[in-house]
Amino acid sequence: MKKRLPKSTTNTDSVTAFANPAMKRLISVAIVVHLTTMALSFTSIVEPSSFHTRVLGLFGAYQQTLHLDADKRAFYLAHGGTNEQPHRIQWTDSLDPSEDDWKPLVPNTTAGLAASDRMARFLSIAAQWSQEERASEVATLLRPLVLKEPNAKSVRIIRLPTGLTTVVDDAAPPPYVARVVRSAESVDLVQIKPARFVTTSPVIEPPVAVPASNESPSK
Amino acid sequence: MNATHDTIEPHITVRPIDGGTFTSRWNRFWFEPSSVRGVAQLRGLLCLITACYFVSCLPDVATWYGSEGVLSQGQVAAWASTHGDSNDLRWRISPLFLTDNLVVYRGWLVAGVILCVAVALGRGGRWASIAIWLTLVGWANRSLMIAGLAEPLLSMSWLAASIAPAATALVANDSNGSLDRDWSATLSTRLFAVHGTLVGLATFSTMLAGRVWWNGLGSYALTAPVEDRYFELANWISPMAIHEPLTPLLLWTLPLGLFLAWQPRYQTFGRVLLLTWTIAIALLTSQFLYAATLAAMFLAIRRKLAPKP
Repeated sequence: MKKRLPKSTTNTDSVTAFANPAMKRLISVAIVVHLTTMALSFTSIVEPSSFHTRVLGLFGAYQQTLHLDADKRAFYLAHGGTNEQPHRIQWTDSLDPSEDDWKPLVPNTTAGLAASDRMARFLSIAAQWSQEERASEVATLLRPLVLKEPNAKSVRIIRLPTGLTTVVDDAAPPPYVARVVRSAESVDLVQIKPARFVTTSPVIEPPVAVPASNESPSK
Repeated sequence: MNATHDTIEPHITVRPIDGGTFTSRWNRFWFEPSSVRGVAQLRGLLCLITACYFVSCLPDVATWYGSEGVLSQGQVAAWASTHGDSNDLRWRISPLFLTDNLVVYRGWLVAGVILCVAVALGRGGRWASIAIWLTLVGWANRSLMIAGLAEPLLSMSWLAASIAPAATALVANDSNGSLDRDWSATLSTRLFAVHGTLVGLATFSTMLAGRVWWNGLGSYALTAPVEDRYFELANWISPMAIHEPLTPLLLWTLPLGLFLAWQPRYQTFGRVLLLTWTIAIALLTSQFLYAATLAAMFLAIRRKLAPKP
């Protein structure tokens, strides 16, 4: 497979060239397949079609096992969406808390470093799942954090405002609020859903039945 | 009546079946022997970045792993049983799923750092590089939803770095270029470079999918989550006169730098553009490991590794 060329007479160079054409072709095919799967993965970040997703699934074993896949991570760096806002998880021991009653459930770490990034990513995913009506999965994720605070009666995940958010965005209810229900065997989180917007209309009196008239209609 | 015709022999050109121009270019691009020391220095830089990655994972091991961690064995099993689509977990293979012992987790990270030092010094052969790769992949797969942008880039880079022969990263090239040359060094360097190009192009194209990169707010959007940034640059970048011109600059520097870096004549300028881009992104987004890994990949981009025979 390898062909070692004669050593130079002036120095101690050695050159190892590839002399086996069959192995070279095999490696070339592997390169093409590898780069194709990488391209498929990184072009599926934003909104892949169902066909694209199915083709990508064929290479899942290779890509995911070796952690080569983009996995829809934010390689675009920023799109200004709500998932890019800072998220914080808070708890309170009050059943009817005011804003001042909420305290951080997880100690703050140095912003921008890896530990802070991991928690930010985790809370962003939990908030997103809450809005996708996946409350039981969110409860499963958050339970270990809640267990570390025995006095917590409620927990919530909030989004901090940024310079890109509007007043309407900032007035929106937190993406996740839950009551902590403790029993002898377990601690459960019961999500409290925000009040839905309702449209109001004026009260309309039911029509009063009018007796039939004996007069014939005029022509 | 029989007409007589001159017989005209058709002129046939027989092309030798030797692959032609594309094949020879392909073989020269991927397999022509090049300096082992060059790729060793690249790998040394990657060792430094990977060691920093492993060290950065140490502070919050107890938060995520262990029997009381958010991603403990029990938690992952409970989540997997309620999670309708189990594709996210099926191929995320890692030996760390077998234990909740925090000593094992911390030992895993420390072993990764030791391997990085060994490989940077040229010890352990290719197997040590492969061991780093597997250590990194095992950790990243165990990280599930908390793994970020750096992990796939590091895995790609170690796939490339594991191919080249072992050599210390600490001795500089001498002026005669009297260094070992190997085809696998070329394959390794090319994979580094092509991976970096692919990620760069994917980054550029997915940035275009966001309105902020068209309406001038893109550079501000990078700094807007102030509470999650190491450097608070949002106030500095908020004036329109700064973020509006900076946005297209950040957007178009990337493809321009990639194009120029692959041209022999403008290679240095292209690489300077790309490195400047990665430094800017690191400062604006605080994604230091991601930016450093991408910078290492960009450093590998060059059209000619070996002189034409």
